[in-house]
Amino acid sequence: MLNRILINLIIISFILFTGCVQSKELETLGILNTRGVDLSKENNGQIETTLLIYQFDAQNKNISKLLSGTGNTLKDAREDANNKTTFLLTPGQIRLELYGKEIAQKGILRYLAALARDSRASDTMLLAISDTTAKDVLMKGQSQTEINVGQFLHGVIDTEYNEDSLLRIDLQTFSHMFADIGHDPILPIISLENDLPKLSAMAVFQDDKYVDKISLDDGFLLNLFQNRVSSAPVELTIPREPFKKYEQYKEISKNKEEELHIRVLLKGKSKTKMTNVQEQHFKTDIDLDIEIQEFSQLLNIENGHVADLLKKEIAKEIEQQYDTLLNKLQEINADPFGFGNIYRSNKKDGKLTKKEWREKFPEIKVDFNVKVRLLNYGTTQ
Amino acid sequence: MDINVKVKSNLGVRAFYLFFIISSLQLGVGIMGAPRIIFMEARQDSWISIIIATIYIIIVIFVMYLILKQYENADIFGIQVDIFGTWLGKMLGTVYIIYFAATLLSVLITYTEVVKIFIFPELSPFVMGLLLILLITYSVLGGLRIIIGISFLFFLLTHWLLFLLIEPALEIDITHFQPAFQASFTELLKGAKATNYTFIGFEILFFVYPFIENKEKVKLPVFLAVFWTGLLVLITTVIAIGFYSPDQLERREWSVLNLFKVQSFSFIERLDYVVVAEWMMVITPNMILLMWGVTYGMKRLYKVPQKTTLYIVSFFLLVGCTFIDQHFQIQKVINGVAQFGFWIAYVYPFLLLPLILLKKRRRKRRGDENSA
Repeated sequence: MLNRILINLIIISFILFTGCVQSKELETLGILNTRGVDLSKENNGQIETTLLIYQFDAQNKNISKLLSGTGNTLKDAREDANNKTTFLLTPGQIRLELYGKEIAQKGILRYLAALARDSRASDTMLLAISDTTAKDVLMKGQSQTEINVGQFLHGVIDTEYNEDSLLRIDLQTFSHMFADIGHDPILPIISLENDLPKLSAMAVFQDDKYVDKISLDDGFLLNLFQNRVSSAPVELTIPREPFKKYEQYKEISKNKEEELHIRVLLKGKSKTKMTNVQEQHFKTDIDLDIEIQEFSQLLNIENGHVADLLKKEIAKEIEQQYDTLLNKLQEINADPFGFGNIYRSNKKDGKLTKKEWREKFPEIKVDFNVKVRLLNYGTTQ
Repeated sequence: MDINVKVKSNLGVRAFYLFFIISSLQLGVGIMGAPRIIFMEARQDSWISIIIATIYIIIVIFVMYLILKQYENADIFGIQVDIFGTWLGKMLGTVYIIYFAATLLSVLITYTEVVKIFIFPELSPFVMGLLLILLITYSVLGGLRIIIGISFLFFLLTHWLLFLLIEPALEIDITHFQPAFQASFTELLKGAKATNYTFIGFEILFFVYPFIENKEKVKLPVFLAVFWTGLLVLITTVIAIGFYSPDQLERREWSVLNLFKVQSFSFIERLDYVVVAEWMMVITPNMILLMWGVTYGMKRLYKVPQKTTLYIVSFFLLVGCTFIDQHFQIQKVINGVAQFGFWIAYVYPFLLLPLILLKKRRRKRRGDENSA
């Protein structure tokens, strides 16, 4: 008897206690999915946010909606946008935050700090830079794509991350790279091609400021430098000359191209050591396992000699790509490789300032050393 | 007041459960922010500080064991009365009780703040406090054996959280620990001292010792508990330092909770919400044991019925947690408890031991003279 009363009491209290906190019904919420952040054109110093929300409204078939608002802070801008809708905007599900080019050049640290402070914002949200303004990409993109453009962009970037083509950068990784001394962050750039948004390049940052861009292939090199890559599809270009005598159907081929393009599946890891701490000399060993998928010429890998030649040329090509990339980054004076971090951890007292590394980075020397293993080349020779 | 406690045979517990009592009292709200606090003192060598702290606590535990062994079946209240006389002894016992109550309050307000920050910003601290205090009161009414049962169950129910740390652990950046051995010895000691709020709780051994049935086996479970807590703090700190860059870690108030923000499963996207809620299971045994300590102490010292103390203390806790709701007030309480705990838990046993040995020797000598 007493037990039954007790159980009833517990059940009743479970029901009643839910009233102690503010309730949030899905039907009254506008769930933010993507946010674009730009500098406001009308009001100097203010920011303009473009918000893509999901609203579960019974009267409306289209569940995604685009809103915009301006304000001095992100939250202020959200409030402003909220005045244009009956739904309560909640930021807990933001998957992608897109920054306009102009605002990224001025520095995005304060927006990231706001996200880190808010426990409701997810640490795994993706960040990206727009080639024009974030508003442009989202507005035009929304009219072109069938689905919610935020979801679309998130998918585009996420696919690249999942197949190891690019370094996965979410809010946490970006803040981590920014806060590490001697390590500059990068972010993917979204541009519009015939009003259709597209992942086009990688943005290189100097601290929190967008300074220049590098190609997506260079983005892959950075990923290979920092992570273990398990199977990334890559296209390599090597000189055609050494392989000419192994080509099939030479007599009918009309191709006069000087280069041989190879599509490979690449697996690899890298390791960087300092050979001379005083002079900042680094040595990076990169081990690659390669599976060949496609050639631009009909190449016959009939014996070990061809394979060795391929390995040599591929290694040379990747080493060269790394050298070019490093030279470019040294010119920009931004270090997304994180050499500064390695230098700091090898230094005796372990102390380095951002300014000090800016002065030293253009002078560093790195010896990239690529070792290639050719695992297989599909079902034909 | 009797120096030795006569425990009814149906109230005794096996020494094995000491492992759960001590580790669940040590693990609580402290570990949520521990990595940052230790890191601010000892930087990349924080792991050494934690090892130092753990070894030190093992020594303290050994001293506590020596103290308790001098008596047949006594607790700290009886021992203090025996050494310092009724007046001073009872006063020191009261200090212990106040210390336990203050620790309880600090746990309560810290957790309320965390829930407010992470899940329900609109939640009134009064409601949160009321819910938790109802839970505490209800469990303490069940008696010591129920309390130990709760510690045992909740220990098992909460440790799955460790698996969620695998993902951030995979992203550890080794360079954050290099160059190693940079901290000076004083910095390491400061780092070790910074752990004290996280590690306090092993003093409960002074309270529960009389209830242990097989006293010859007390040492092992206690040492294991301290070792286990030390290991967990070490693991979380290493992950936090590797995962966050120094600048980030210094600014993350609850760095361990933040570690749970990076996982996501297809069926649950934001695990940090689950973890904050689950943390209630971590702190519940914590608060219950502390509350039991307070009520038991009052009964021992002043013969106040345990229920009376329970209701009165609950009321004051509720008032306390309703009004202490600003971050810096809460930090003040925590720092106060940490200071208090440092002297009571870490230093005091070393002062008590020589006094007891001295008294014992004198008593023995007198006994010899009498018999001669």
